[in-house]
Amino acid sequence: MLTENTVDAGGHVDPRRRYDSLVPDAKSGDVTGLLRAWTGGDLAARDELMAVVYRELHQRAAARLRRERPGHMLQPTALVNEAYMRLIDQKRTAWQNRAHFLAVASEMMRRVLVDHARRKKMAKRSGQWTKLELYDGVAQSQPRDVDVLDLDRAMQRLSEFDPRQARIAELRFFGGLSLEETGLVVGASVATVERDWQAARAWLFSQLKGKGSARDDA
Amino acid sequence: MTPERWRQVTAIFHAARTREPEARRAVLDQMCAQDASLRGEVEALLAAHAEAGRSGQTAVSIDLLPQLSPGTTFGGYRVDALIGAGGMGQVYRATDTRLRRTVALKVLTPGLADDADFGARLDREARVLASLNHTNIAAIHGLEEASGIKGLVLEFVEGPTLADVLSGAGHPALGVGKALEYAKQIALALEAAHEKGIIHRDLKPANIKITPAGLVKVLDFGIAKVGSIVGRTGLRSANAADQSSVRPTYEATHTGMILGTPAYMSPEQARGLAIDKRTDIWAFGCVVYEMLTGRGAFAADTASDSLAKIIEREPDWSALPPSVPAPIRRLIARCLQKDPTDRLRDIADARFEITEVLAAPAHSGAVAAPPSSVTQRTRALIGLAGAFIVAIMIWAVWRTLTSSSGPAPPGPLVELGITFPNNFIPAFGVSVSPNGRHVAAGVFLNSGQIWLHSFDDAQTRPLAGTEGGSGPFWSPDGSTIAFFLGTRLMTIGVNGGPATTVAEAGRSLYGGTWSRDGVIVYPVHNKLFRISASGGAPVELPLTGIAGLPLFPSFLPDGRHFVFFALRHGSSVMQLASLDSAQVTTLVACDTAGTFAPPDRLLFVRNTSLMSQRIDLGRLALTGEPDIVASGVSQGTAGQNIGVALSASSNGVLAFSASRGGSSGQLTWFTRDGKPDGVIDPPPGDAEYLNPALSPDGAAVAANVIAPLSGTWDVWLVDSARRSSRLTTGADSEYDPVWSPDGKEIVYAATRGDRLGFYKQSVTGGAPEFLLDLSDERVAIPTDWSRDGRYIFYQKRGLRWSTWALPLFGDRKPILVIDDQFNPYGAHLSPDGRWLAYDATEVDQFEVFVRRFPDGTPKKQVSHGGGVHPRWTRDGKELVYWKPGRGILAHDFSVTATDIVVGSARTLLDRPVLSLIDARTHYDITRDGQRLLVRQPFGPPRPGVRVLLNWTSKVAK
Repeated sequence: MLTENTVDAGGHVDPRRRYDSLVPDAKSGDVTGLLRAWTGGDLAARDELMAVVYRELHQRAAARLRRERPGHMLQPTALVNEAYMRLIDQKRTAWQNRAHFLAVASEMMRRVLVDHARRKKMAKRSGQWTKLELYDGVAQSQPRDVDVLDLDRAMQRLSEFDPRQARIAELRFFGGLSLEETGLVVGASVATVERDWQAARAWLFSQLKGKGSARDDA
Repeated sequence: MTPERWRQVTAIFHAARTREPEARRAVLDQMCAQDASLRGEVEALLAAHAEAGRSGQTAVSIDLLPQLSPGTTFGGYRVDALIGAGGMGQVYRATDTRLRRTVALKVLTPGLADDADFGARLDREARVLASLNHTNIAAIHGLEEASGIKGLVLEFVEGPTLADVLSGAGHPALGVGKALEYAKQIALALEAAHEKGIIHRDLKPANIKITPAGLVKVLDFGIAKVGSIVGRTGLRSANAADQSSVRPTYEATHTGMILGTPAYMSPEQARGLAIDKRTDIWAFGCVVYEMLTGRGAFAADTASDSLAKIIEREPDWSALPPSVPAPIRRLIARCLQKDPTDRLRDIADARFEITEVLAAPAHSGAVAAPPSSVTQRTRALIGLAGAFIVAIMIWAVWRTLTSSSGPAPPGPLVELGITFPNNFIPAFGVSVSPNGRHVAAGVFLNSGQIWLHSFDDAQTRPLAGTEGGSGPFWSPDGSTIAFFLGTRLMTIGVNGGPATTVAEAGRSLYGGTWSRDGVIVYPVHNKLFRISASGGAPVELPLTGIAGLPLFPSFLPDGRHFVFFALRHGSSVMQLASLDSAQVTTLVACDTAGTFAPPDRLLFVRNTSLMSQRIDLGRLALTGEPDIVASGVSQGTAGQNIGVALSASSNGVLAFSASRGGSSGQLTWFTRDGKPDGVIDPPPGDAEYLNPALSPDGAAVAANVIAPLSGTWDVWLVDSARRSSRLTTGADSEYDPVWSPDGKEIVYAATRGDRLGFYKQSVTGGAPEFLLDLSDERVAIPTDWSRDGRYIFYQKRGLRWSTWALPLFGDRKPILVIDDQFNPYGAHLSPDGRWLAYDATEVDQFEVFVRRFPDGTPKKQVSHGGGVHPRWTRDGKELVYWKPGRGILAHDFSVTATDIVVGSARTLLDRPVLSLIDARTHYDITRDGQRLLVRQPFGPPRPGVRVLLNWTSKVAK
């Protein structure tokens, strides 16, 4: 039921008001500054940035896990992107900086998840959520259950003999970086990144194969 | 692993991974030479690689916390383990500590308990379901609520589901004897339920359990219905193998079948029509067929193929083993009649038939025996031959259709419907996913939200996190839905997850389009903007010659050009523009929205028909003649123009918002204590009453009716003897009636051509008297007439709404009453003429306020947690309003020398009020506060979105 009137600004429609009451999220300028300082060569800024990002992701993940409906998935990559949207003033930031931010955020995201999983394990509570699903964002293939800590350990082992591939896996799994962005971060061509990614992923999957799922022991 | 070794492994891996199996073996033979362990490592890698798929984007997601931890208690139950998760919530094995028995605890999602209306309905449903006491039905023991979480307590059934049994390795089909034994028990379960008027609605192998003793238990009776009630609050119907395992599900384990194919849905269900117990009979037929053949009767690779089969085709009868007796074949065929009127009427008949066959000597054992008599065998063979010929013919038709076309395989044209709560029609964007598997819709019920319909499981559900959103459209890969929320452009994954802000984009309601290069084009008011899908700042497109308000743009395949609907009263057109130039070309005149349909068609609506015409993508102009794809898609174009939102995927799925047509709401009387007290019959023709207004004595009703053919609005009267008559006779639209204090006259707004104004007319008829010219205004609506007869209150909108009073004395110059920034709306003056009640967005949502008239202060907020449409009752001692999603509430109201005193709320009506997007008021109350007139849902559910599968079969090649 579209009328010229409703079209214009929701005139006849009750929800008109909803639109008037929304205030955009506040953005922090500090983090943008840190990001710029770091990409400009200030390594102390990187540490500070990591602390801010870790806090942000940790809070957001915790809030999500409390609030969201079960059966739904928490997507760390979405969380990372959200953090970017919230923390960084995009008008002042080049896209290359976005990749660098996401790179930091992927690392922090992995750490948030691993920390949380460890705490859960120690508390001997169900720890259900620490099961990750590796899913394929495009095709609708069957997701697979893996344990965060298993994945973390496998990635650590990979980093011992191929640090770049491990880094690529981290960026892709936890930060959702595109091949281009990943290439920018690790300093490699897209073709190289893609080859490394295929190998890293296959190796990680082969290591995770046969690992039990929490649902079995639930 | 050493770095050197790893380099060696990966080198071989890369050399081998893209090869065909033969060539791959050769590579491995050559490169691994005699090193068996090297070869083993490479092969493990290749296997993992094959399993991981060749996808580009892979990321992790996380299951969220279970609501209950094992070992804790929930009401009188001790939680033992999480055993499953479905759309409706999670399922736990638990122990009833009082009765010391194991139960299944289905815990509903939090947030539900906040919705009092839902809670009450769930209680009612649970009580009905609990009355089902039958050996073959998994019982519902009760409903438990603890710490804000609601849970259904269900019988815990040991053993696999029928789906598990049928997906087992080796022999998926059951023997005839066993299949019939199970079928009999399923029929008994359905029979018991149908006797109590309960329909299962979601019978399928995954909902049937076989206990170790061979007893059949049907799960989740009627829960699908509970689920559909839940739909509004964000849950899906419970189904799936909730009690057995989370995954793999039965469907997923069959190669080539997608998850949750709606293979057991009846044709009427698939079409979105009303269903009754015959829907269960259909599903029963599907299950029996599957037990006997080991395959689904209407299984297909994609959901839309499956739906097409359900609606158009016969199952493959030749798949039934020859040993299946003829009466059973006939029985299945009768269960699987497409038209419910031709279908087996009573499940008891099926049970008789099966019992008889089982009693026959050949089938007394659990093992199937071949047909024993020559006659039987001959008959079976003839039946088999017949079915085989039919199958070949269907196959031939299918081949012909698919081979003669381009990328879209035009199977038979099939129409489906998607139904929303309250028969809602989404007009703020309907968008089919690029793969044709989902439809996203912008739905405004009590507030905006993006809803997603998936053809895979035929579920329609709101996406959490999109509250307030509208204008959905898809990313080119179909993984993401973009939408607008306030001034933000946001995205959400098709599988849910959090909604993410992409950018500040400006206020937009009417969709956008997303190119393969990641460019998004969308309208804001009368301009089009572009923005990168990864964020950044929006850029206005420097277009010249946009012919109206640009809505619903859609990219052409080149990702540079796009078409959009330019809305202008009486002369709307489809236009074409590009990212690269200022030029705008008009393609065709049309009446309501249009879109681009891949690969090369323009879809638009003209004269209530949905038309399609080819675009020459080289010349960027229309060619050939338009074809009519569907008729009656909009309700005329005059007056209050009823629009259509539409969208098409490249594989022949077309979805568009249905025109309203027909009554979906009925004015119903309620007493002050909430009891129904009669209805007002709908107006003649396929129409309904909107914007009801009660006369001062509460005996008569003035309301709007939209003429079914012309789409114009009229004011109708229903008098105390329930006689209805049309008051206004103009060719244009008259709307929003308001009674004079003496009940002898009605004032209403009217559009006559370009002119907008208020008119006054006697209820006994006669010529309308022109009151106020408002032609310069976009919208103006009368809301109240003061009881001393001196003022008519109205609202109009410029940038925002403002409230005005028209004095009916002196110079009759309108007085501005409220013009804050909060959209004051629906003003009503108290009987003493001193207080104005209205609703506004001063806080997060719309709330009811009062302020003194005419000076505006003092002021007080009356409602909390939402409130609209205030009315004064009981001589101004009471203020009544509608709380969306809750019902109708009342507060005592009084004024002291220093303060406005608002008493606590009491509920007058504890049920939802049917809102309609273009109606202003949805209820009224008599001045003594004793009777309410409320729009209530009426009639069978009507699809809000119509879907055509294989629509290209309707157009000229």
